[in-house]
Amino acid sequence: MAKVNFEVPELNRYAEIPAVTPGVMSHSKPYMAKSEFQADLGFPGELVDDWQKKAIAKMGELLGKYRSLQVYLDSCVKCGSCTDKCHYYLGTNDPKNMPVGRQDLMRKVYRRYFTLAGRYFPKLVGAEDFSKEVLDDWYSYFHQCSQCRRCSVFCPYGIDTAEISMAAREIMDSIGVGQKYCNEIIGKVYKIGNNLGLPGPALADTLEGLEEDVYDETGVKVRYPLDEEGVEILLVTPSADFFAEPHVDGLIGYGKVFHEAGVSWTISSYASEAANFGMFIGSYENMRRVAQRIRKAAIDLKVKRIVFGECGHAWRVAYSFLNTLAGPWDFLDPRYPVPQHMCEFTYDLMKQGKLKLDKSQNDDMVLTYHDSCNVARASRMGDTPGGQFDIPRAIIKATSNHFFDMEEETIRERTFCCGGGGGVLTDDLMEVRVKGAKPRVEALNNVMQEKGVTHMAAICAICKSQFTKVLPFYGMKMDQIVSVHQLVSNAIILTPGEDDEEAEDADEAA
Amino acid sequence: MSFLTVLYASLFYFAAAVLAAGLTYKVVQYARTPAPLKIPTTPAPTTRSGVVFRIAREVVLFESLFKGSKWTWIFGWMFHFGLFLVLLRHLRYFIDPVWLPIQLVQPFGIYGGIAMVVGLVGLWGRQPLPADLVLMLHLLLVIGLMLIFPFSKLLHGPGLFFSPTRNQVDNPREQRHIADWARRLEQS
Repeated sequence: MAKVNFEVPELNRYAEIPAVTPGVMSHSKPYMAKSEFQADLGFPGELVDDWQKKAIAKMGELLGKYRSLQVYLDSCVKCGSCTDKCHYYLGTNDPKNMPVGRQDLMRKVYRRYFTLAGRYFPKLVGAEDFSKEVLDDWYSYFHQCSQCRRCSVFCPYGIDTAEISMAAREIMDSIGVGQKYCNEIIGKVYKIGNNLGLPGPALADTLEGLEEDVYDETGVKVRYPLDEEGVEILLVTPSADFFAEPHVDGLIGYGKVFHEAGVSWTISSYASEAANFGMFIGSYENMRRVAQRIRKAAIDLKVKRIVFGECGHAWRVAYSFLNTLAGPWDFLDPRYPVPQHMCEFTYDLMKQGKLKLDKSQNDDMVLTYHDSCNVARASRMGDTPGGQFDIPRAIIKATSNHFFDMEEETIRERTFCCGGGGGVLTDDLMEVRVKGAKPRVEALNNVMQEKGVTHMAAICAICKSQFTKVLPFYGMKMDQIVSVHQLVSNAIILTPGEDDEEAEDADEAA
Repeated sequence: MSFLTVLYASLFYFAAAVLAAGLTYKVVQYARTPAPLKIPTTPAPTTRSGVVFRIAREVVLFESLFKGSKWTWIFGWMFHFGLFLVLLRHLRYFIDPVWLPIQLVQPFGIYGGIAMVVGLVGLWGRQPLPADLVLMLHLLLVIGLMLIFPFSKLLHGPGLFFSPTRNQVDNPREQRHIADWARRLEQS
């Protein structure tokens, strides 16, 4: 665990709404993107000369492109419903981390330049010039928002702070003020194909290694194919799945499920990333460019279906935006939704009775489930609203004997973010990450104390990485966070292929 | 009084014109601004009629506010429902003959007025504000309200109907959703 120069919050039995401490988090700023990385994304390399004018013009452009932004900047009445809903406020006490406080950083600028009252009576309506100080505040606090949408659940007008922080980041990028973490990662996707910068040969090595590991452990040849043309399914999964714990255990699980389903599948080295950080920076163009890689891979590999692995915001982009950004998908098999979530795939198979599961294989764990924010509040699984809550839980319950939910106020649509989403998952924001995790860790701690929970399952690469890093700050162990398909992987009883003694093509023969 | 009558009458016509023109401008602006992505806060209805029902619950019951803050909900709902009754009751000053439903609502309008004041005091309890004067002031305030409506956070009223997190159908996989400006990206 890294040396810390901040105080780790104390966990309480009952959630407390803290008194405000203005400005305590204004020092928190992520590293800025270097100019060469900005250029890859079509942004200026450093703060442009007449940045104020350009930023205001950009804001005007976005107001004309996004109804959400226009309506949300107008509609807030300061009712206070959102004030105690953001995990970053609850963890830091900084009022600019209240959703309304964060929104007002943009709203005061909007009022100054785009409303009659703000132009002529700025003081009266809280309008402010877009000064360097305001820009600094923007850079600080719009990078303390994980775009988790919890505030939007409680707002009587549905105001979603994520829409505003995305627009703010887009405006800042347009004047040369980019965040290193997000923008460098998007650059890696363009150059190499995934967030982690793993080239094709490294992927091939990893997947081959997985095949050997699974064979050694189970005696069954389960395939983990890369760039195979003409197969049925293209699996798009977060690149963390290729090596990090507990992510890779989930990937092993996907392969086993496909094996049992008897379908052929492949990963694409060109689109070897489910994540789409274009969303985090609010850039439609970059989000689209990343999504188009999946379309190209699907066409090139001549697949019939697309399935996404466990990743929260990736599933938002996939479920809610992929048809918009990279559709229409008329060349794929119309019998299946495009795309499908791995959990939907596994759940369907379970319902058909095609998976043999031995729950006792997970008896060393007492489980709870963390609803990842983007899955919970920005997507769906299955045919009915709320399937995104029920399907992962059904899978966990089918693969383990001991499951307890955390408190109702902290799960499903009210779930607390892990504290690392929305482009915050970087070491230069460790204080925000640790403090922002507090409400979730508090709820976890309660079920650990009261129900004997030992592990928390999740279906998001960011959540998994975040908890792995952050749980130790609260005296918990990094391996208490597990993948849902890791549980499937443990419980599944594999059917040996007819040619399990032979060298290849077990799946395609099946 | 005749000068005042003329003054107030003109002010009212002016305020009504500003309200109508301003609101029309804002509503047209909202309606014309595209929502390029599907962003309903989920779980969300998967049909258009489900969305109508969701918005109706927000408008009539303040469902999300109820989830968020019970005290604000109690006073906020009292205020708005009281305002609704009072507005209905005031219709008698503008129509002749007075419609039957408006006649029937008259006795309740008084309670509506009380509910409004209680609600407002409750809401203001959190951020103190002055109150109370006579008819002139009352009318002046109404004029003021009508004037600032299209330029202020009072736009939360029409705004809610245009809120993509509330008014969109959750069917992105079934139906491709794309804005005109985004479609142009596909042609390049």
